[in-house]
Amino acid sequence: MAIFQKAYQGYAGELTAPLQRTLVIFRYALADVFQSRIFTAFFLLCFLPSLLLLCVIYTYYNLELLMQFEVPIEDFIAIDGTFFALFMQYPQMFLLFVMIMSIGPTMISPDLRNNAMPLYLSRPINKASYIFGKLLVLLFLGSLISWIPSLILIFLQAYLAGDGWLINNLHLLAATVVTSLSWIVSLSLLAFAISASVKWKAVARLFFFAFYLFGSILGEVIKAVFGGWGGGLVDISSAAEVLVLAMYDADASYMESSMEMPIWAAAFMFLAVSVLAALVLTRRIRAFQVVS
Amino acid sequence: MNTRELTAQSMKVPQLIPGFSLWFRQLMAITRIEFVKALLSRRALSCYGLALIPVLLLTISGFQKNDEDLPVFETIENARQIYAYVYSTLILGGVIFLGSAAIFTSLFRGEILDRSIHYYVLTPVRREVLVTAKFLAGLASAFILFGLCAGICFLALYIPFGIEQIISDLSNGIAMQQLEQYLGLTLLACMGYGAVFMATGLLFRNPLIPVVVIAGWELIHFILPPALKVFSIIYYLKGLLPIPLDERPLAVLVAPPPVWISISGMLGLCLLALGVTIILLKRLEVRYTDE
Repeated sequence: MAIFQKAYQGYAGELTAPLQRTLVIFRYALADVFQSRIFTAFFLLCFLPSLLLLCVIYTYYNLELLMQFEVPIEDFIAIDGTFFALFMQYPQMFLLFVMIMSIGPTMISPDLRNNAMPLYLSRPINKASYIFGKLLVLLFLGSLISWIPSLILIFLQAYLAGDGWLINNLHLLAATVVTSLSWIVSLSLLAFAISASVKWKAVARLFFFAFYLFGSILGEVIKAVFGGWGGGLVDISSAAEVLVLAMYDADASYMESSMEMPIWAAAFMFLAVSVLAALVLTRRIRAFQVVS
Repeated sequence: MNTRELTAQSMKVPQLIPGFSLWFRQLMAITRIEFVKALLSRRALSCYGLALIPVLLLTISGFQKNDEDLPVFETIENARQIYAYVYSTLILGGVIFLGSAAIFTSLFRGEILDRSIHYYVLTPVRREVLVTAKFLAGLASAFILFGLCAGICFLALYIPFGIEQIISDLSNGIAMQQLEQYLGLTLLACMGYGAVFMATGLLFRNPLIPVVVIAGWELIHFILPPALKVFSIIYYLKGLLPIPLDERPLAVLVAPPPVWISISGMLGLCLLALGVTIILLKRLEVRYTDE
């Protein structure tokens, strides 16, 4: 039969599960990310702080080793919420920021620029699946370098410390998961929103960095001019700091917290950024495009 | 004389005799085109947004009270101090830095991304003229935008004090003197950052790398030893502020450079960066598929 004689007929076969379709987008996006050797090297480097911390915790409970180095035990700070917030959560959040800045803004704009969206959305994939598939890449990679190694470190500390340490510090488990996931989700959605609004990925990365830098400068200036914690509402890094301090029950004197912001305001900041970014994303991602 | 000869004679043949007259005409033509692109295109919207934020902040400050229920601008001296802080932190460190990065990086990198640089490269224009014209267009648009931002913010200081205070400050010369200094500083900052970002726009395919590196360097300049401070742009600019600000904790204190060193340093940097851009442009091989 000649091709022109074939009429369109919708697919009548069995569809795969929605999550399975989302995982296709995830798989291809993940493969794209690891095509860059620089990113692969950076990603491996992200495990270094956790490995170092692992060595520190092991050494802390190994008296013979400490005696070899002639270090008095009193010189070590206690391994508690402050320790984990200061040496684990902050470095991880910095690495997460760099990771999301390098790959997040590049994930949507090429699809929009090359008119690929109609091709995606003409399949049984909706906007939410598309966004979630892309988000899963950042969630997966971000989790691998943040809360998963953190949980391992906390469990190692609990095992070595014994004496009900884990029961006394049970909040640390929730703290690392909640702060890491809030940071990953809000920054990723922000990066996607910028990526969907800007044509070129290089420019999208620049915008993401500018948003972060300008937000922190503006937050500092608002605090200096008006006082109070209002500046924290435009500075996502301050909100993250407040969330970490509160969730880890950390000693604020170790960490110079720039905003005395209530925790609900910090949580609201994360929620607002995520919701606004999701709104921009749903507006920008459309099933039809003017093919130029 | 037949018709063909008559037509040929009356046709306007482009006068491409090399010399200052031709270069100047080309310079003006490119500057005009680039100025419109830099200031009136959709791409400029982000810069408008950036420039609007300090204006809004200082306008609101004029009507607001702080967390101790006192007016933000208690006295005019206090208002000038706040303006000096806002200018050096937000306008200089945020608006002008990021705005210059957006405007000047896109002068060449934007053309490469839009796949239109070959139109310029194929025309019989000297690379020196092209670079100078683009730089002047970028500088003019950045100065108009950020100079207006600095000027309007300065005027916003007088909101709680009324027209009498403005007249008094204008008549005794304080307002004009400070405004001139701030505008001069804005021009120098646009020149310095702009020239550097124009060169890095050609040098790096990913404009984020130079912007992050320069931003990091400028952010930590206060803790740098004096020998390294001289390599940061903000060191020369902060020395020209009409009201000196307190340094942050941990800062390495150094006397600000004399005014003539600051100005000639910025001019020197600008010439050096323009020279580098010209060399880079002469060696440029356009491969759009790499972008």
